[in-house]
Parts: sequence; C-alpha cells; structure tokens
Amino acid sequence: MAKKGLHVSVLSIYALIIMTMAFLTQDPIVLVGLLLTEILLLTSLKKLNVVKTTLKIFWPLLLITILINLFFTSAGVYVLFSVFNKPITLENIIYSSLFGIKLLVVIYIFYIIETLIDSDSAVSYFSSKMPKTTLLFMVCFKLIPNMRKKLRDLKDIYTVRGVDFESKSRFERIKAQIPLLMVVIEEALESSFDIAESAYTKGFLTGKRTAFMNRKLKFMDFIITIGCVMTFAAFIVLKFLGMLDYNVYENYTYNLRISSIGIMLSIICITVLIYLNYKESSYAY
Amino acid sequence: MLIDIRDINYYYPNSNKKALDNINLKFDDGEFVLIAGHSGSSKSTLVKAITGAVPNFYGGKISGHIFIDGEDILKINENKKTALISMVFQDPERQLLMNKVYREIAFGLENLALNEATIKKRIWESLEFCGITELYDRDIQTLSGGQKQKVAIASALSFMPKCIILDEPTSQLDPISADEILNIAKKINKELMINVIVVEQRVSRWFDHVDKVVVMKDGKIKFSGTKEEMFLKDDEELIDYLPSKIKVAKRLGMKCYPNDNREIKKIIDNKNLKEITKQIKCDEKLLQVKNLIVRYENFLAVKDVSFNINKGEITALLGSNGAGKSTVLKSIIGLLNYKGSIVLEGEKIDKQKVKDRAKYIGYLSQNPNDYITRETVYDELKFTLDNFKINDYSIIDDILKRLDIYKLKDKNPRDLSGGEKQRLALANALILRPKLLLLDEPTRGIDAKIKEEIKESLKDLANQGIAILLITHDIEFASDVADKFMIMFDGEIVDIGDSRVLEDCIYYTTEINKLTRQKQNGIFTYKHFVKALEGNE
Repeated sequence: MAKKGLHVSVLSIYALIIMTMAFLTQDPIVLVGLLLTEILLLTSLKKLNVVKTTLKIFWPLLLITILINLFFTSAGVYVLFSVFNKPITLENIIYSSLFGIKLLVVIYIFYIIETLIDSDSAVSYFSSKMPKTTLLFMVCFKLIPNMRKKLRDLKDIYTVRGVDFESKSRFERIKAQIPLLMVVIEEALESSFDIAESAYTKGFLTGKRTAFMNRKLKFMDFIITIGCVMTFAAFIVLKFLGMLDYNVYENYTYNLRISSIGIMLSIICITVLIYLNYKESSYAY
Repeated sequence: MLIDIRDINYYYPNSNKKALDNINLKFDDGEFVLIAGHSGSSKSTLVKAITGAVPNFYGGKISGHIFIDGEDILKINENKKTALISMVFQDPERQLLMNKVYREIAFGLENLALNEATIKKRIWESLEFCGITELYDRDIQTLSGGQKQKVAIASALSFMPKCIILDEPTSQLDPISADEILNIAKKINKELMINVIVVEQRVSRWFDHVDKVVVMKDGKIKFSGTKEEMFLKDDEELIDYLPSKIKVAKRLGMKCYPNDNREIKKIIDNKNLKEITKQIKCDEKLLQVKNLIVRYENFLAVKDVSFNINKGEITALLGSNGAGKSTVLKSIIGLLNYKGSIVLEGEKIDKQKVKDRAKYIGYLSQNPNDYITRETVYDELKFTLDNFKINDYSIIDDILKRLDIYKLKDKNPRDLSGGEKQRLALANALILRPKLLLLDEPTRGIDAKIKEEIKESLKDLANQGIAILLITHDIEFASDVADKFMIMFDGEIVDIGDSRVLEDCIYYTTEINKLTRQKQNGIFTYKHFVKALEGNE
C-alpha cells in the first residue's frame, strides 16, 4: 500500500475537537458550520447515502426533542401555536433544532472517522499507546458486526417460531425483539470472551508492542494538528470571554459575530486540507 | 519441543469438579498428536493448559507441572510463551481480530515487539507456506470459512512457534476445505518439524497422519500411545474412537495397523460381501421444488434447481461451503425471495408467508442455543405454540416423550447437555407436527454419541411419515441416515439419487465406500460393512 494520506492520530484529534465543540456550544453559526462542513466532506467522500439516511432520522428526532423539551419547559415568549394547551414557542423550536444539529454533528463525525481511518491501523497504533483501552474498543468493534449478523439469523429462526416482527402495533414489534435480545446478550458475552482469549493467545498485553506500517508524522500532519489545536484554543478562549454564547430563551435573536465566523472558517479550512490529503482507496495509517 | 505434563489437576473457577484429573503425558520433539474424546471430556482444557491460558486466562486452581523443553510453563515469560506455542480455535469467525488478512497476521507479531521488516517477512512467508498469498490484503469478512481457517493457521505459524495447537479446526468446514487444512498441518509438522497437537471429535481425517493418539474421558487420560498400540487394544470404548476403515481392518482380523488403504482393500477383495437391502420408502410426493432461482443482489446463489421429496424420505443435501445449500432451505421455508415454485402436497405455497409455511414445515438452524430463551424446556415449546395461538399443550408432552427428553421437562434449557439441547431444538421444529423437516447441519460440532441419538430420532420421525431434508458435511452420518442424496456445487444440484450418487464421488463419500465400492455397492459405514460381511459368515 502506498504511503499516502494522513496519520491516524491527526484524524483522531480532528474528530475529537469537532465533537467537543459541538457539545460545548449553542452558537448557531458554529453548529451549522460544523454540520455543513461534515455534509460537504461526506458528499465529497461519496457518502451521500449516509447524509440522506441520517437526515431522514433527523426530523423525527427533532420532533421528539421538541416534545420532550415541551414537557420540561414552557419558557420562551414568542408563542407560535399550542398543543394540548401547552404553548410551542419559537425559542423551544430553535433550542430543539440546535440540539438536533448537535446530535447530527456527532453522528456524522463517526461516519467520517469510519471512512477516513482504517480501523486496523488505528488498533495497531493505539495498541502501542494505550493497549487496555484499545482491547476494549476492539472487542466492541468486533462484537457489533457479529451481533448484527446474529440478530439477522435469529430473526429468521424466530419468524419460523411464529414471532411476528411486522405487527402493526409498535408495542408488539418491540415485544417480539425481547427473546432475540436474550440470545444475543448471551452470545455477546461468549463472543467477547472468545475475542479476549484469541488476543491473549496472540500475546496481547504481554509487554512492549510495535506498530506495523506505522507511518511517521509528516509536514501536513503537523500543519493540520497545529490548525486543530489553535482553532480549539481560540474556541475555548472565545467561549470563556462570552463571545460564543447564545441563550435562546433569553433572547432568540442572533447577531452575526466575527468570532463565530472565524471558528467556522478555521474548521472549513482544516476540513479542506484533510480532504485534499485524503486519497481514495487509501486510509489514514 | 518436548512437552512433559506431570500430575496436572485443574478445577475451573467456582467448580468442585476436576476438569483435569491427574494428567501425565509426554510429547516428543516434532510429534504430531491427536487428542480425541467426547464433548466435555476436557480435551480443550488440556491444550489450554499447555498454552498457559488455563489457569492464567481462565482462572481456577491447578496443581502439577507442565514443562516445555524443561521449563515450567507457569514460570515462562508470557511473551516467550506466545512465541513458543500458538493456537488455532474451532470457529474462524471468533478468533480473527482485524479486518485485513495482513493486519491479522501482523497483530500477533506486533505483540512480540518485532520490527517492521521482520513482521513483513513473516507475513509473506506464512502466507506463502499456507498457499494463500493472494489473500494478503483481502478483507477477512469476504473470505470463506476454509480461507479464514487458513489465515488463522498462517497467523499461528508466523510466530515461528515450536508447537501449534489446532482445536477442532475442521469441524465447521466442508470436506474439501478440511482436507486442505489437514495438508497444511502435515506440511507444518513434516517440513518445519513443529509439534502439532490436534483436538478433534471426528478423528478419521487425522488418524493416519499422527504419531500419537490421546483419548480423554471425564478429564482423565483413557489412552495415550501410538495408533499402532491403540489398534491392538480390545477395549470397546477405544475401538469406538478408531476411524471406520481401521475398525474394518480390525474386524477383518488384521494383526497390525495397516500401512495404507490398499492393504485393507486386498483383504476385502477376498471376502464375500452381501448386498445391503434398503428399506423401501413410499413414493408419494410431498415436496416439489421447481426451477428455484435465488439471487443476492448481483450474485446468483441458486441457479434453476428442481427436485422432489417423498413422504417419510430422508434427503441429504451435500456440497461445499457457499454452494447454496442453506439458501435452498431458507427459500423452502419462505425466508428468502425466490423465483420458481414450491409445491407442498400438491399445493403451491409460494404466496404463503413464513408463519403459514411453518405450520407444515419445521426448520432447524445450526445452533441449538438459538432456541433457548425461556426458563424451562416445557415453556420453550409452549412459547412456540403461543405464537401460533395454539391452546392445546398436550402435544408438548408427546413430542418430549418421542424425543426422550420428557424427564427434562422442568429443567432450565441452559443446563442441558449438547445432545439434549439439540433434541430440544428438534422438538421446537416438531411442535407444530410438520410434514416436512428442514435441518441445517444438525451434527455440527457434536460428538459421535450424540450423533447416534440424533440419527435414531430422525429415523423414527421418517418412519412416522415426516419427510426430512438435511444439510451436512458429515458424509458418514448422511450415508447412514439418508435415503436420497443431492450434491450441490456453485448454486446447482449436480447429482441426485440414492446412495449410488455417493459411489461415484471423489470427496463426497466415505473411506469405507472407497474401499468396498468395487466389490459391493451400498457400503458406507462400519455398521453397513459388518452387515454385509455377517450376511456371508
């Protein structure tokens, strides 16, 4: 494999700052900026189907968030309409929308990681840095596709046993999954034990470890890392100075701020650099 | 490598029963050893003690010593131990940790802190040795079972160990892949002089090639010695572990272990073997499959397959992994979309949903544990009846009695033995009184004793008029139980008919048939052979 692309640690830092920023801010420009950057990146990476599928989930998620929000608070002054005598305010909708965007940003970053980072390289690299945590992740990563396959097989068996997975009642459909989950949980426990045993017999956690095909950090890796660190530092300082604060329930109007635009532009620049250095059919390693 | 096991006793955590009971064994440098025994005889526990996983990984109490080239295994540094002994497990799915083949092999070598150049060299050499260099950067998920097992062996070999342990490496493979694994193991032993220890329930494939045989029973050593010594023993239990063709040699009065099959054949050629008469089954058609075509996206899995199954007939569907056998079964029960038509008792069932078909067709998947969700055996069967809104529970007792597990009615299914679990799964498939039973590898991973029980249950069901279509890689089992055979390759049924189908096969027949087919047709198992011989004695 040709040594192209970016170092796995650089992409991990990028993913980490995007996620942290999404959790820490309510600033609409920063959040929308993060979301649009991710959508553009995924589209450029030919993952438009991911964007489409996730957007389908977004609307019900938004609705649920609004309803939950409504249940806990009726704050806000700009009443749009009422449901069951509860006022739905503009603030409520803006807050829920921003919350939904946050969730989407986090979901998309996982897809981006999956696309840009080769999990084998990540395991190899991080095993030499933090082996126990990597083992835990390895068990999870290995387990999830196994469980998905098992669930598919079990669904076949239990359909033959008369369980109705396509009932019109949502309650019945959820109830039908219960026997499957029992089998899957037992299987998952056994399977994680097997994975750990296999790792043990291959000498994992027995001492110092090397990393095969471990790529050295290159100039562009440093540039992107510095970009990420500086953007994040600026974000924290601006947040501390209150220049990225936005509380929709206090005042739903939003004034465009240079600080928010600056952060958004930095993220866009870093993402463009990542995309330009990402080569199709090669992974970060 | 010299392996010296002295007075080993072992208890699993929270258990008062000895899993290993006073084990004393010695394996010489470069020896090829076969460890046999029924399920639960602690074969795997013994080899895990040799790797040190017992007790280091499993916990529990151990006494005694295992010396590897004179060094106590429990005192050897973990890293050194990994480099000395490597292990390949039964299920290739569960032992491969990475996504790419080269990464999988590199994983273990990284743990030994080897440098990049050495890792690269070892990856290529081990792949080359196992004949799978073309798989270098393949995604492991896209490999067949046999290829995955070869990758696992290449990974074990890349350590350049002094001993490789294979724990039932062929139990999930078709005969062709299983033979390839055997050949790699032989090559490792002969060319690299690495000790190879194989744990197996189906011994016949390995028996001819090993230097030493160990038979275990209830955690103890029942026998340890060469195959020649084992051949001379008259212990009935030990004879059970001999491969069928060796039992034939013994039955023919050979005084020492046959050097090759030709020696046995020469004696057979001088014997009169009586024709074995088979029970004639009714020829009333129950199932007609016409022009079945199944497609997975762009892949044509089943290509225009047609066949019939009669009432009370047992049909074995044989063929390599990925040939489309399970797809045929799933199409019949309606779990997959297909083209063509399926007729049951003269009625087309193509439009029927799975739940409707399940009233007439029983389906049993490979893993009996998949059928366990309730607290008692009785409740497990009641669960199926409830799903079909059947209130008459008297059938539960009938089925349990018929399969001889009535006494287990109130037991937790999780506490049942392997054979009992398999019969419970079978009871689940029978609870709606089906006319046709579809079984997907019912003997996978189970020992000879349980296999015998299942064989009897299936014959009983067939005698009651239930038609059975089963998939198996166990040709001996199939030839003993089935009336009709279908051989499937690459989505097509290439041959169909009675046992003469197998007489014509290179792989898909038994060792005994290869020895006897020129002399007399229809002899596939030791039981058949004795019957044919006694008819003339």
